[in-house]
Amino acid sequence: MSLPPAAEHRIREVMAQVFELDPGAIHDGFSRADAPLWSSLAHLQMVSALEEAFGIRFTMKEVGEMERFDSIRRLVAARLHG
Amino acid sequence: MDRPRDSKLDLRAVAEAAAAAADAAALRRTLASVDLEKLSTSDLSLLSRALERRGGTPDVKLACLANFTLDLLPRWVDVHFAREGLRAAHYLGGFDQHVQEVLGVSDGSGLAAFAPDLVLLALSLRRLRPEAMAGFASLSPARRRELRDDVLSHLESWAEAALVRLSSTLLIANFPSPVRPAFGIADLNEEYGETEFHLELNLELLRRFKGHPRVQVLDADRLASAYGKERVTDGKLLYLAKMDWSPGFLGCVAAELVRHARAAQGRARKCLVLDLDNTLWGGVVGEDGPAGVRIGTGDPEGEAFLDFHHSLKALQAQGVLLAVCSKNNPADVAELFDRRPEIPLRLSDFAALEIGWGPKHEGLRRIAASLNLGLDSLVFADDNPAETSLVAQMLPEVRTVLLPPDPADFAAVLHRLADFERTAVLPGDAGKTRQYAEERQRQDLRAVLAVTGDLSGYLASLRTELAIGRARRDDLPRLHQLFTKTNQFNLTTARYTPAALERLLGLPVCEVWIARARDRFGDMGTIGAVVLRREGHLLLVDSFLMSCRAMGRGIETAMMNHVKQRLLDEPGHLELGGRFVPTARNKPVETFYEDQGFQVLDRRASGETLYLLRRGQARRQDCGWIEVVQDEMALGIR
Repeated sequence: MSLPPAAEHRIREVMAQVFELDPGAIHDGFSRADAPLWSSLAHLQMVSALEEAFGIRFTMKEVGEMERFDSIRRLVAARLHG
Repeated sequence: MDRPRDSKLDLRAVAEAAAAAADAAALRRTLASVDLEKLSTSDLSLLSRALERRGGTPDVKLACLANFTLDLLPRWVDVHFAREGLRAAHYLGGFDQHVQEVLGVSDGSGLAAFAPDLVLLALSLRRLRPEAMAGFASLSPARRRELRDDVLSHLESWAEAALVRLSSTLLIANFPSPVRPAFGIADLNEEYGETEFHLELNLELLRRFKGHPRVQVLDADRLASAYGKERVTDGKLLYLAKMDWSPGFLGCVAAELVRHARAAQGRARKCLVLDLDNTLWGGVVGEDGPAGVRIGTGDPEGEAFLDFHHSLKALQAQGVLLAVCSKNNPADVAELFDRRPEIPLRLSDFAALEIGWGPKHEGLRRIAASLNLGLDSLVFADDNPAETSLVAQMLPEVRTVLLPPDPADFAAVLHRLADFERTAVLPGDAGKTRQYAEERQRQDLRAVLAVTGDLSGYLASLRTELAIGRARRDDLPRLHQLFTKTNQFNLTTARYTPAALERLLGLPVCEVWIARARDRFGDMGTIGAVVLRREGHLLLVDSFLMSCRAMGRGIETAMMNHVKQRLLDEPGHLELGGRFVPTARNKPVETFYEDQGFQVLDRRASGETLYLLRRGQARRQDCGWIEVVQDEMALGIR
């Protein structure tokens, strides 16, 4: 379950916008510890922004797992292919 | 994906430009192209952060109190306010601390210190009365009615406490009725079902605060209907973050807050200037002829224009002036209105007409001058993008509206404008156009008499009558309107809030006087106000203001004579003090106190000047052409 490069780029772009970073800064292992602006409110904004961008819905359980770029990528891929 | 990639890049550029915009007008122009209704969560985040980086003094101090998470609301407010050239300072109350906040006993207790202009109270019923709401279906009808009264009295006591401790205007959100009531379609047959409960709760809320000078209802139920009630609450965010209102719905609430903020500030624009061809009717009168332009029943476009006229008439009934600025032959337009009596708006409905071939920005300037309005009081609507963009460039103070390609959408565009919002429509508002028409007659008369050079003859011929009396509580709405709207004839431009004015009325050391006028052409309504304050032996003129409609006929002298008489009436008072604070707009009254015989006491670098008039020097000045009547009833104004 891999994502097309455009979709992966889109995730980085959304996260970069919400956390006010350059998309290039969102590396595979990028996590909550790397983003000073990643508050609990910003976390939910990121979730909503990803849901809007891909037209998907995450479960509450998944929202709790979205703490790193690679896990977010995995969850988006699962939703898109599932 | 919801939109092409490059529009994302554009938004980054917009955010950068917004952060760097030099002033409010530049900011407004920068954001004009952004469709806020379609803003995604990440766009919002980007834009609001850019706005946060801007400094500046706030126009409105907004406090939001709620029993659910509203943390995203300030971001939406920033974006919506910025688009209107406004800036808000925020205070977010502690979660479920709305009572403690107004009682000043919460940990923060900073609400009073923040001194908000507007306080929003948004309560979720499921958090306010969790057990009753969760078990609503099993409550007896009597218990449901008790629940309604319980919620209402909670809101009333909150408002009472807040009104005492704060001088803010309160904005209480009502309750969106449920999309899926517990009993399904049977809910409407149920005795006091969920729908009826919400309808009555909201109706009672409206009734209890209707007309209150400092409490407004925020119609969350209407906003929710417009937004889509199914999307008002996002289940996941409700459980994860106690966010009863979804981020998107908060955007709608923010848009509504702009309207309330503008209205509370009395910043409503006063005149809508319209183009004619393809704006008030379909087609071009110069080409299609008076019979050929489309307006009226029997034709789809004609019916849309008909409805647009009705929307404009509704706006006029609220006190908004209508005017025309069109490139046309005046004779063609006159013939069209003559030959088509079915057109709802008549030429006499327009307070000013600029029909000719000159540039529209010049026409708009003349309209503003003839109505004695600032350019920032005008909205200009045209179907031609070349015209609206030229006007926007030449007259940035004017709000320009480019009408959409289809007249079917005209009325909706009009309703989306926040520029004409006011908290209440006052009795005099519906007659504004008539008042201006009367004013035109006065001006015409003046022009005729100017030729003969007989000014005093002209003034006498107006037969002006003036009634000056102490302001009462029921004068508060009009008094507040005068204080917020009067720019030119305003000596100190103190923008008192309704609460402050109410306080002044009750202060023993203060006297608030209002002046009403009428003349041979008609009733001019309440046109002036004076606030006097006693400080020892000094009687201080705190505020002295007069509507621009009343300027140029010596009414101000009659009002000042009344003030001088107050000094002479009370032997304890030895001196009358005056103060002039210069603003961008009040140049016409720069020498008012000198003209009235006052002496300069002190002139500061800012231009602020203090004046004094000793009791022994107080002379009434002649304005014999004005009849000052003591009995207000004699004017038939009340």
